[in-house]
Amino acid sequence: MEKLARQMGLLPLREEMFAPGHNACPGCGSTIALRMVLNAVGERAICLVPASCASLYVGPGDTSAASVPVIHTLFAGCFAEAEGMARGLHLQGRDEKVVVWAGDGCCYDIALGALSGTAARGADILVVCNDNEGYQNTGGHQSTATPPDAATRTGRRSEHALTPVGRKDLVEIIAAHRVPYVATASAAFPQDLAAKMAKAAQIRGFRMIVLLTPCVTWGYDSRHSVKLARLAVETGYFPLYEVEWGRHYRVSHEPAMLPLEMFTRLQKRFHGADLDAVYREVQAKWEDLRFNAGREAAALGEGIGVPAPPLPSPTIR
Amino acid sequence: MSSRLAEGRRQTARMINGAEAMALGFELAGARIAYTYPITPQIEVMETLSRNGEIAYVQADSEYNVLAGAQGVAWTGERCAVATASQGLVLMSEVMWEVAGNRLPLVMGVFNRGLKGPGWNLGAQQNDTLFMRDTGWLQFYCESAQEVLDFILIAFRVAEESCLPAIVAGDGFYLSHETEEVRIPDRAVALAFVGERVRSGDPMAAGGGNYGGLMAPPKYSRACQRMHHDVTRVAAVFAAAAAEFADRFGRSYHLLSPVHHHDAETVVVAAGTVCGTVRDAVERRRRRGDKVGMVKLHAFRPFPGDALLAAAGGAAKIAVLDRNLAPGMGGIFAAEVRLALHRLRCPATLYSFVTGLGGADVTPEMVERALEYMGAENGRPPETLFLYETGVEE
Repeated sequence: MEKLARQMGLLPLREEMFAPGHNACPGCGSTIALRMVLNAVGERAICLVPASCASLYVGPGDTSAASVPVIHTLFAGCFAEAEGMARGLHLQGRDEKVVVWAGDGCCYDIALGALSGTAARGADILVVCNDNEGYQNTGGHQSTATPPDAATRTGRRSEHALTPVGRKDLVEIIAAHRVPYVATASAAFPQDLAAKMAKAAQIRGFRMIVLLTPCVTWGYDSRHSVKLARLAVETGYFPLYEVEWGRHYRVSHEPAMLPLEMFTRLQKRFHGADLDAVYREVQAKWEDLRFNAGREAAALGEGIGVPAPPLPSPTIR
Repeated sequence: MSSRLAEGRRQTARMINGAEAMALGFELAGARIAYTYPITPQIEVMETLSRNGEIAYVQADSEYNVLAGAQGVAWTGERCAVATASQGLVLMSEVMWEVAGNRLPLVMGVFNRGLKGPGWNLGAQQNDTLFMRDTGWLQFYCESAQEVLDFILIAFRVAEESCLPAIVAGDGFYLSHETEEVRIPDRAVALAFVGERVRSGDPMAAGGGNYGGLMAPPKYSRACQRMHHDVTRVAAVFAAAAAEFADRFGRSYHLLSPVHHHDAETVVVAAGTVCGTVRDAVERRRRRGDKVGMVKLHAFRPFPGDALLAAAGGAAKIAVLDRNLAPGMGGIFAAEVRLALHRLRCPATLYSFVTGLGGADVTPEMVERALEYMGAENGRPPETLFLYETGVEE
């Protein structure tokens, strides 16, 4: 048990990098993940936080729940600011790691140009995208990470679109920049998350980890936060994988491919949504992922003669 | 001659333009990183910096990210070269507030250029920097390439001592592209003048803590108040830095420079390259016996209102030439002067001339025309006048 706790970065307690005392909502999926992220990076780090819930919950008033310095930045400014900071530190021969904890509104929308720019310039930064599929700090509004037919406070994205819309695939967008490391992770899979953080922390250059973090604005009972994070992975809705240098794909956890509805039915935002559309999107994602990961496995001489791994299960009605 | 001055006199004279002078200023101030993005007429600053092998040169993906990146550099206590113009500066505006609020002493060079309002424009106009009036950045305006170089050095010193960022501005093309003789200080002496960068606010040295997070209204308002007082106190910081600069390099600067002001009945106030034109017109008028003087403004923030009235308050009429326009209000420098006149109960009549917008040439004849208008007009003048080659319009 203690060994597992150590692997998860939960022990010894004095090394805790994100302490109780933050003021996030009960059932917040992101603080669980932030704790794991900061524990994995360690104390020789500096964390930048653009406009988000974390602007508020890290430190009410003059206090801070984090044991590393946290610099709160403008919504769109965090990536370039982190890049500049990393450059300054390098010039001075210092070894602090620069980590950005940014939401999907930041990564997918307002600062996508900066994310692309810093990736293309090989900025020595680790970006962790706290993807809760919407602008949740303002109360639950659409971002381009929001599933098209999920309900938000301003309706469904599909309702407002003149032509059919999909979600942006941020991992693929950044992987296409041929950066050293991009991965997805989930707080419901702490060992997988810790391993990816440890790997990312050792690499120099641009690294990004996208976390799917359930948010209570999705309309679920707050006790289901971790369960939802797990179901997102085990239904295939959110694949856990990594991409090195934009080409080398590896699925890090084989999901049970449980029916997608097990994930969606716990959330009010999917009530009345076209789940077939969500399913089609998930299936297409897995087809691409299997193709890319298979190419890598074939190149390594693995997987020959092994039956094809499963694709996601259709929605049950 | 003091030994310091002798040391500083070891300067090299070179024919360079304002853009090169700006780049040189950053190099001499010890910037080890340059964040840039191409925009006319700043482009030669970045080209010059890119050729310096000792400066880590970064071309960002937008001016917004130039300033965000430079801010990151400033957090670590490094000096960073930043230069832009026009649209670039306006694109940076959100970050401008943050940099000043974080009290990071960045220095930015700007070659003023008209903004895309009614259409594209490439010529000199000061609305880009003046749009930054309320951000907390200090603002210095230059007349020559020599001043650009010198003010970059002085700005670093003042910014770091007062924990406030500073803009060093000059008119695009008139200053960025005109070549003139510039005396370039010795590198070691320049660095000795600017001084060691004190990394007192380095968050990484301080361990855990929140920087720039949510601030309750009482704390936020006190922080704003402190920034206001610190900007006004820069006048003293500047005076001390400029005195040492004069001692080392033999060139003396103030927040403003008056010419023929002691007995002047009419004083013309201006900032930027137009000051050379005004000086020429004033000399012409003086030769004809007119009691005309001028005040060249080096600083917009802090605004040297008291010094201005000490120099020009005895005149019956004060003209302000503005290469900028706030529609509905008029010239922006004129508005500041008007406030100072009011605050100090100065009875002088103010004539606000908006001129040279979009880089239009301002000639000595035009300045004389403005003076003639003022001579003939003894009532209360319209709040804003527009000065063209063809004459004065309302």
